[in-house]
Amino acid sequence: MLRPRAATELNKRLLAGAGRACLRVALALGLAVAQATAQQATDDHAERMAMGLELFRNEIRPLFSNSCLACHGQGQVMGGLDLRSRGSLVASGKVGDTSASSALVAVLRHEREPFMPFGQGRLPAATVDAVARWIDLGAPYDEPLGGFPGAVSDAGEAEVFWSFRTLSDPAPPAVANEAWARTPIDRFVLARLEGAGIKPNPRASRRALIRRAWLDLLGLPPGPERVEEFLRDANPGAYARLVDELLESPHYGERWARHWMDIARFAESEGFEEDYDRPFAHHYRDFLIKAFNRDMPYDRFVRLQVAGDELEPENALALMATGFMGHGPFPTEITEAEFETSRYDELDDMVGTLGTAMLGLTVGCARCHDHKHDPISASDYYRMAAIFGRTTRTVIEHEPDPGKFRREKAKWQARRSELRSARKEIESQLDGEGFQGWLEEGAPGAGGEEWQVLDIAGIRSTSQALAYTLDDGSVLLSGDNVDFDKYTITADLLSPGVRALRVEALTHPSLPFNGPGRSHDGEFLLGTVSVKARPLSDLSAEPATLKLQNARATVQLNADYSSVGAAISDNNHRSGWALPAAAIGSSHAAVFEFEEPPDQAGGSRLQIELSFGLNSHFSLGRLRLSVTDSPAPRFAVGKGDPQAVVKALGSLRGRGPAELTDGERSVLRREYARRDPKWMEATALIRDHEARIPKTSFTKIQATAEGFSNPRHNANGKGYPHFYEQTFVLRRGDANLKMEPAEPQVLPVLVRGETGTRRWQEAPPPGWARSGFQRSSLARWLTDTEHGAGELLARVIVNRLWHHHFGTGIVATPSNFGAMGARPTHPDLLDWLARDLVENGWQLKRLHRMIMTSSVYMLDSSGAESKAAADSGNLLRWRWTPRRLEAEAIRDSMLVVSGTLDPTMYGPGVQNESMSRRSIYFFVKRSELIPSMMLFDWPEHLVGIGRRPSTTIAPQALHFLNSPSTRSYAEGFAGRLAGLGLREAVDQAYRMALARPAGPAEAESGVTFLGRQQRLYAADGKPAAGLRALVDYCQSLMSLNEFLYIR
Amino acid sequence: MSNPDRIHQPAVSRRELLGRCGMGLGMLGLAGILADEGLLAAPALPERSLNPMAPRPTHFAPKAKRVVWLFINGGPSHVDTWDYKPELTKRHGQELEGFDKFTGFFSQEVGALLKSPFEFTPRGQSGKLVSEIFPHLGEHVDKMAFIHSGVPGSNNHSPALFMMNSGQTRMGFPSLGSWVTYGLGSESSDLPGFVVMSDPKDRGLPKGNASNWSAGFLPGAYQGTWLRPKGDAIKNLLRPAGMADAHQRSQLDLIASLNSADLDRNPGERELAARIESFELAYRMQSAAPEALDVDSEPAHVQELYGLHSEHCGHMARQCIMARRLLERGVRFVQIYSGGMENQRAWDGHIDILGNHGQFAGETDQPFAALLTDLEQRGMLDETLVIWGGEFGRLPVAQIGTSKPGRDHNPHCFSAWMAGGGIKGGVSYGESDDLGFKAAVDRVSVHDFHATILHLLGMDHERLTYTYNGRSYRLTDVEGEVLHKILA
Repeated sequence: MLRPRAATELNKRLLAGAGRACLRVALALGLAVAQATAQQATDDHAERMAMGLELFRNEIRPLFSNSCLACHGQGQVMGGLDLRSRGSLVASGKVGDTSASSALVAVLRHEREPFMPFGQGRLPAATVDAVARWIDLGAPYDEPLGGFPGAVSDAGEAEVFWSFRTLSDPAPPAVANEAWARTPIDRFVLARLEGAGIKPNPRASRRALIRRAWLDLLGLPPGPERVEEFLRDANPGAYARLVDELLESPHYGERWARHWMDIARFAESEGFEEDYDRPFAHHYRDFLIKAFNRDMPYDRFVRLQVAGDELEPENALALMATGFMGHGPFPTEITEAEFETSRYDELDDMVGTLGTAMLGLTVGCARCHDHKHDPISASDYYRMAAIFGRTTRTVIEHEPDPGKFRREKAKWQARRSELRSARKEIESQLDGEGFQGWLEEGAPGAGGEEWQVLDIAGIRSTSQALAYTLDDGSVLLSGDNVDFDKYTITADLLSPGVRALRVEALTHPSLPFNGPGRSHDGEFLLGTVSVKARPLSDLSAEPATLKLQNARATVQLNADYSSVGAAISDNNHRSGWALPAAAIGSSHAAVFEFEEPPDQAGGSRLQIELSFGLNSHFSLGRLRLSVTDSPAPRFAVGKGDPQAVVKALGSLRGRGPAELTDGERSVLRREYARRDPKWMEATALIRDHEARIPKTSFTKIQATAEGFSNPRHNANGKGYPHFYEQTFVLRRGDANLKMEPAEPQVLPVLVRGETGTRRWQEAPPPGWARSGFQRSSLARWLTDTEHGAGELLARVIVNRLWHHHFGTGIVATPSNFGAMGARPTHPDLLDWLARDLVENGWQLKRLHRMIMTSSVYMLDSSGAESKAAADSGNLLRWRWTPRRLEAEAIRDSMLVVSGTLDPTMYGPGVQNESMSRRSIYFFVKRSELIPSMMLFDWPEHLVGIGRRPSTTIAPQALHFLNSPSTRSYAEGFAGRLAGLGLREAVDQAYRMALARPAGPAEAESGVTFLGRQQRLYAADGKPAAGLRALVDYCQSLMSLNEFLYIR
Repeated sequence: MSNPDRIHQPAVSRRELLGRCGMGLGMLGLAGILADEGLLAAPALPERSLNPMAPRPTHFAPKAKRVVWLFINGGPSHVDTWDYKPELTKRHGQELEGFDKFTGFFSQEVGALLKSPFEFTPRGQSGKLVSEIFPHLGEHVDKMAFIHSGVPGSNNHSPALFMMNSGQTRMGFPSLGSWVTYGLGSESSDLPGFVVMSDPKDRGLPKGNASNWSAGFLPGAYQGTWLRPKGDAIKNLLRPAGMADAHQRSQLDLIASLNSADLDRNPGERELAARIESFELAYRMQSAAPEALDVDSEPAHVQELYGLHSEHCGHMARQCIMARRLLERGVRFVQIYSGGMENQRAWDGHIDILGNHGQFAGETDQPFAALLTDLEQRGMLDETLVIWGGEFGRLPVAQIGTSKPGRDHNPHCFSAWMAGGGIKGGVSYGESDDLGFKAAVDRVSVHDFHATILHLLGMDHERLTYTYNGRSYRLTDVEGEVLHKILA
């Protein structure tokens, strides 16, 4: 039964090919017949054909596409009626020679069963008349429906599928009711309504309008005072000012960013088995909020998400934006056999999401075969995927304001010099008899420590971390911190015979959790330690490796692979010294004994390499190196004499004070000064200042880019490469069936002019090696309205805004503008809006304003019977269609009404369902999606979603009735009514929840309910019966349809 | 709804909707309005969004009306359960020549061929050779149709689990239970249509967690309702503290009266009517669901039959009784996971296949057998499809590295059985090779498996489609053939 895949696929292709061929024949025949007829016939006939085609374009196509094609041609052909082409329509036998004999017209008129469209109301008489007229004109098609759009190159503009055409430049049509048309939008809509003989609803009440505007634009209900203020504002511009005011609210960004998060399948965990968190993904959400609030031009908004790391590498917001490409789920456990497939899946997610989000094209359909419906071949798909060939999800440490940091650092260093000079001054003043006498006595009290602190002459970090030598001889590292850093330290060993090296891992306030490590949790992993030595007398000599043995530490994570022994037992930087969590925030030491002590009498120059590995950024933040000649060194943190002191003391005690060099004298003077209170004070100032070293304010940002470190992954240990240098065209999407290499290329179907697909290619700036600028070229193509995809990009975003403002888009499938998607109900309006957007700098707030101040937007939402019969789907926009709030807006509204909304913006998300910030700040963990959000059709956050479903299920009611969160909102709500009389409480509750006063009957029923409920509770002996009743009442109001719907 | 509904729309009329769901108090005012077909025939949205679980007609007459899938989580070893391999016994201890060490999950722990540590004896009229770990289930072999040539989706748990549940190895596709309830709706108006039970012994969820019963791109209403193994099985089923039924009833009446007045003002908005009804439904669920899950109300002999009070299998007995009670009350699809996340917490016998399979068979044998007996005694079995199977089989070679040999994942073969509605009992379909390494004769893809299940439920797997992001999707992708030879 399991057929070989190849055979199945072949069959499918043959079938698909056959189907395609048939359709083409049908189409060709249809047109040929039409043309032939037209040529032979009179001018009148030609004119009739032209009229028929125009009728088809304006009326029939939208009707068939939106109301009929789903059952009659797209995926299924019910009742033998296939509406996709003239040929298939005629073949069905249902069209008839004239409209009078047409079965199609009869079922549309509901003269014959089955009444069509099935299960919906009768179409407007004008619409059916149009169908009849069209049939009488010969039922011509200009192109098949849901079929195969012609390629751009070999067809005239009319043959090009609608969404690939250049934007038309329609003039807003003339209308009879000029007064109604406040904006150009209104003209396009009203012209159609007038044509169909439908009078639009009256304007909505001001109460309805303010509530609609708030919920639609901010996702929050207006407070009672704000409502009353608006009602009192009699100035003609009051509503426009309201819209302007809302557009300036920071809550606007929080509302509309969330819409885009659906499209970007944003989530903060990996998905699949372990579903590890992606703790730095939230920056993308913050980018969206800021971009919307700042009215970032949409073309830039798009470019940054695709190539922000290349276009504006210094701009944190641009890096955050690139998160877009990498939000897809990714498996945690992959076997070697799955490596390459997993990578192709990831590329598919990037290409597919980009296609639907930006262009409304289901590019991903071409992964296994040429797109069945849209002009995208499998090669086109893989070339597009190749653009992302080296792009991976990564975490970048970004310094938001490097200038500020540099300035503070300079200031800090200057101050430190001052403090040091001041202490030096104190020391020089001590160079008197007292000091001389102390020297004569052989410097009693100085020296004698077991450990000698090495004077670190230089430290080099592969990540170019900055190193500061502190007053105690330790080195503090800051600046860039990358994976697998390696420190190469140079220090001179002034005397022979040392037996052991001590590495101290020290805390510092500038480090995460005070260190001693530099990882986000203060941890480090010292993977390998190696020491080489050359005689100071011959620095050109080949360095000799000093073998280490018997490593011990004050504390280590375990005795095995995370032990200090593991740092020298192998050459593996993935195993080595790490600390248990409890040891973070305190200093520790490790000791390594030399197998053979370095024996250069004149001293040695040591080169000490410390490599840090396995986990990201696990390098040491502050370290100090010491040596000892003790044969059995004890080890602890802290004590040690600077090596210079030991040497100077040796000279003093061997040869007497007179023989001291100036340097030795200076070193000893400091030792002497340690007893001086003023010196101690000055030292305390220095150390205090050192503790306040300016912190680099690095932010970890999840980006999707090239040339940064790969993300952590369970399969890294198995050698998972994360990307492959070459992307191939695959047969049937199978990574084991590679065909030719796929070179990066944008979609040819959206390229205009002679310049070809390479037009947008640009070389990286000089010296740029990190990435190939393929995504920059993609970004430029996407937003190029003249030669690239820009016009489609504009159509898609205009439609998304319309979709969210009105509940359905001009194109009802906002993420699919392809052949399988819906056709625009108002194509001219769509083009006009898209052109307007492009011509006015891609500013979305302007578009919001124009839409919301149109007469169409301000229509009353009631569903008048007669109009409903004429246009039940409100395709012509005679009313504002009421709709249920989304999950976020429901919960956020409850928070507002309960008075508990925490308006904190930005930052890491919260997974706790009972948090009181806006719902956009929920942490989106794929395996633990917030249950109360899921109840109201929150997406699964796996693929981009352009339009959420809106379901009505009993568990939603259970949530209103029984969930602890609803109950707590009701308690907050009731608390805000405390102290009011029953009648006032009812009225105020209505104003708060529903933005209107209670009607007389409602007030009455409220008061009655409160009284009865209170009696019931009292009879049950419940305390605070009145309050309980009020909470029950508040809970009921928040469960009402009126609360849940925007009207 | 952006997704045109593909199979049969619209599925239910207002009258049906009203007839099916009793109205509560305070709802009488609605009847007049709702009776007005003219007004209500004004849909902006398809019916499904109003009542996604309304029962819908099948493509053809169904053999089974409901499904219970006993999911043998972790990958049960076919050669130690239902697929007896004498050749494996014979070649015990020999190397398997040409074996690719990357076949399973642990390439460094590949051992020699390992015979089953269990005895096999012929059972039933059909004489099916059954492992000794299934003394009770062995009684029912004449009801079962075995598939021995199943080809899993992956050598890795979660892709294989996703494959078995959704027909795709990737995350994000609708599960079988979601497709079935999308296609058929549910016959219960006050219980969820698709119910999932996971391990109640704190051993975790199957790999991939709730994605295994996700609705994927189908509306969320079709996702499996996971019964929480601890505490309240269904969220928000209990009234707020201090609130008695009378209090809530009067609250509901208030909501209903205000909502119906609102509907009066907004005639023709069918969503509003549906939402009014959803509150009554929710109210009924509060008593219906606890009642359905009240295992302790079963008579003693039934509890005894399932082994409810037995230490080793009581937890599975409880779930099997709950499953039967749910199915009895019209729930369409129940899935019970045996075992938790992986390794020794599930049938994932990497080490000690003897101990591992012995333990999990012991946890399930009696309850599963009792479920078959109980369904049969109640006359439900002929309309209930019972499925036993996991995400993949296990290798005939040993996995070594510990003192007790285990078996690694087998991406080439699995066994499963079906019983009940429409299934021919006592047959075995397909064969693995002599060692049970690969499916050999009449290979069965997961798509074939799914196509057969849908067929039994009266659905043509090629016609059960959903259009999403411009593509028409099927559970069986572009493949799948019904296994007619196992049908009664």
